[in-house]
This record gives sequence, structure tokens and C-alpha cells, in this order.
Amino acid sequence: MRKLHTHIVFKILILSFAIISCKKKDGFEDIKILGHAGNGLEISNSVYHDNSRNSINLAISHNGCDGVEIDVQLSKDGTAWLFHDTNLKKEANLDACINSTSDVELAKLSYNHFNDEPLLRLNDLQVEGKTLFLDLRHFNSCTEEIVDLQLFISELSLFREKNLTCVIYLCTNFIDWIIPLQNEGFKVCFAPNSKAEWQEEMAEALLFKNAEITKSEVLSFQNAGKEVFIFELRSPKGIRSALEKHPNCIISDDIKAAIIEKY
Amino acid sequence: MKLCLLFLYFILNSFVFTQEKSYSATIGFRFNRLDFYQENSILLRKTKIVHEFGFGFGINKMIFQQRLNPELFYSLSSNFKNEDKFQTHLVGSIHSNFYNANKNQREIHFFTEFMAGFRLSYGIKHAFSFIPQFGLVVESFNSTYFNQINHHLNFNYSAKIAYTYRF
Repeated sequence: MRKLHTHIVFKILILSFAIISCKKKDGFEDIKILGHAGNGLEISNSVYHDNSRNSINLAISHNGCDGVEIDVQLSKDGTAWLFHDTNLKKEANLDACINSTSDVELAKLSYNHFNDEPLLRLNDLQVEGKTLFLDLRHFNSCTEEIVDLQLFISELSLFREKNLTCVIYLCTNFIDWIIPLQNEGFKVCFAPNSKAEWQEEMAEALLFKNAEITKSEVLSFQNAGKEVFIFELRSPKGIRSALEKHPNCIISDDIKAAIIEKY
Repeated sequence: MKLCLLFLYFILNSFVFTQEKSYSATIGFRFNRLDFYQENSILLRKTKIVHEFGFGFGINKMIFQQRLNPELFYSLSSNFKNEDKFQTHLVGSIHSNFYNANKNQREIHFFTEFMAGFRLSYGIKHAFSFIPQFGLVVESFNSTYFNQINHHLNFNYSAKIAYTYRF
């Protein structure tokens, strides 16, 4: 009798596992997944620091990751570097802004992380066939000045030439930069600072936090011919809710969870 | 469906409890940086050494993300301090689990944990344990983009609470 029960339970269990593993999630195939600052921003105990080469390589090595979002800032010498915060103190032990620090000094720095990774120069990055979403920082918080756009454009043009197989989006929350960047032939994504800026009409793409946009608003932007990117996605639940809004792209801090939710 | 699966899983576990009487059986929950696991095991005691063989599954992956995430583990512990009902063991363990992240392109991630810590338990016939551990985890998967198997090493921690029945 016990043997029969064991047999039945095993069969039901195997069937349940099979049903779960075969359940397919439909409808999200056309939504791209990008890694936030590489393989995730400010993830505690992360194997690699955000915006580092290892973090970017880890993100794009996942089958199903379409690319990465990275944060780009200009050094004092006009060279583009990847770094998230405006000040280097917290993450790289130097109390200065990137915009006020020379290339020589930046090249000596490494992240406060157990892997001790160096800061990465934008033009040292080369990727094949992925989407690269470059978040441009226009403001020098140390001098409270807007950085030189022409220096940015020359660095970005060089980067574009090196990564011809990639789709490159430039993201800015500074309205005055949209048209000059478009005039150079870049795809520009605008990150509105407030709801009043949602009606900005020039940018081809818009970037929103998941919590600040609804499914119908996503659809209305898409009907107006704009692509919608959603970020601030850390949990599987948040990723699921973003996918259900059906944007063009999600920027996730947990790539594996995003891939699982998509497929 | 999810509740049904959990129910069936626990019924299956009941067969584990009918093993030879020189063994102990344990059921527990373990939290680490990867997931929250339900774990079941058999403990074989030989003087001061305890061998533990077990299996489990990742609750978040399996229940909430609908991915098979089975786990196997082995631990070796040595009785460190024995004061009547309170016991302290030094524990070393290896855990291995995997799941397929991408069903379309098949990307199976293997995680192997090498952990060390303590087992603090209270009770003789019915014992409750708390097992904090620290160690390393290696994540391995085949990347078609780089056309190579990637291995990533990271620090790991875990905490387990368990109930043990001694036969």
C-alpha cells in the first residue's frame, strides 16, 4: 500500500515540476533587457562594482541581456569615464568630482570593492552587437557649471566609431542638450525631471522610474512615436510590473531575475 | 498550484523520516544571498562526527518565479561542545543548486557553495538548530556571447533554522 502511495506521489510531483518548468510567458519577447550600470547598481555584496569592465562583461554574457546602461562623465581633461556618483569620495576614496580630476589621477583610482577594479574610460570599452545606453552627466557639482558639450560629443563620436555594431542611446535630463546631440546623429533619450517635462517633443525616447509611469501612459508615448525605457527595477515583482506595462526596454538591477521574468 | 506543489513536497518528505533508526532526520529553512531554501536531510552520527546528506529547493525561484531550482548538499560536523541538551557543532558544508534562467536560449546557472560555521542545537529526541555559516559561492554558466563557460566567485553567508528528529 505504501509503495503504491509513493509511486502516485512521485508521479504527481514529476508532473507538477514539468508543468511549472514548461509554462511559457508570452508577450514580452520584444521588450529589451539592459543591465543597470553593468550588472546592477549598488547591489550589496555584488561580485563586481557597477560601471566596471567586469560588471559590463558579466551583464552582456547572459543569454537574454540585450545590453547595458552606463554612467558617463567627463574628466578635467575632457575624457569620458564611467562613474555613477558625481563625487569620487564614497566609491573611490578621493574627495573630488570627476569633472575636476585629471585623467592621470583617475587612472590611478580603483573602486572600494573587494575586486579592486580600476575606473573605466569610455573609449576603452568595446562591445559587439548590443544596445548601449549612455547616461550623460552634464553638471559639475563641484564647480556648479555645465560641462562642455562639444568635448562630450567628440568623445561620444569616437566611441560610436569603435562600437559600430551597437545601438547607442544617449540619455540626458538636460533639455538643452537634446537637439545638439540629435544633430550629431545620436539617438537621444530624455529623462524628465518632473511631470511638467513629460511633454518634451524632440527626444525619440523617454526614461522613467517604474513607480512614476502607468501602462496607459507608456502606450500613449509609444503611440506618439517615442520609445519608453523604465528603470529602478530591483525585485522580481518590480520587474514583472514593468514588463506588464510593455515598454520598449527595461533597465534592471537584477539581470537574471529580468531574464526569468521575460522568458 | 503552488500550494499543491508545496503540500506534495512535504508528503514526499515524510518518507524520509522512515529511514533506519540510527539516523536523524532534519527539516529546515536556509536563507542565503541567492534565495530562501527549504531543505531536508538525513544525519548519520558516528561518535563525535555527523554526516548530513540533504536536498531542497529555492523557494523564490521555484514558487514565485516558476523555475526548477533543486539543491543537493552535504555537511560534515564535529561535536564541539556538549552540555546536556545544548550542543555546539563545527560545520563545514557544500551546497549545489542550479536553474535555467532563459528557457528560450537555455542558460543554466550552477551555484556551488563552500560554507563553514556552527550548529547550535537544543534538544535530544526533538532538537531545534540554528546554523550560521560564511563562505564562498561559485556561479558557473555557459555564455554564448563570449562562447565560454564563465565562473564568478563571491562571498556568501547563510543562516538556517532546522528541526531534527532523532530515531
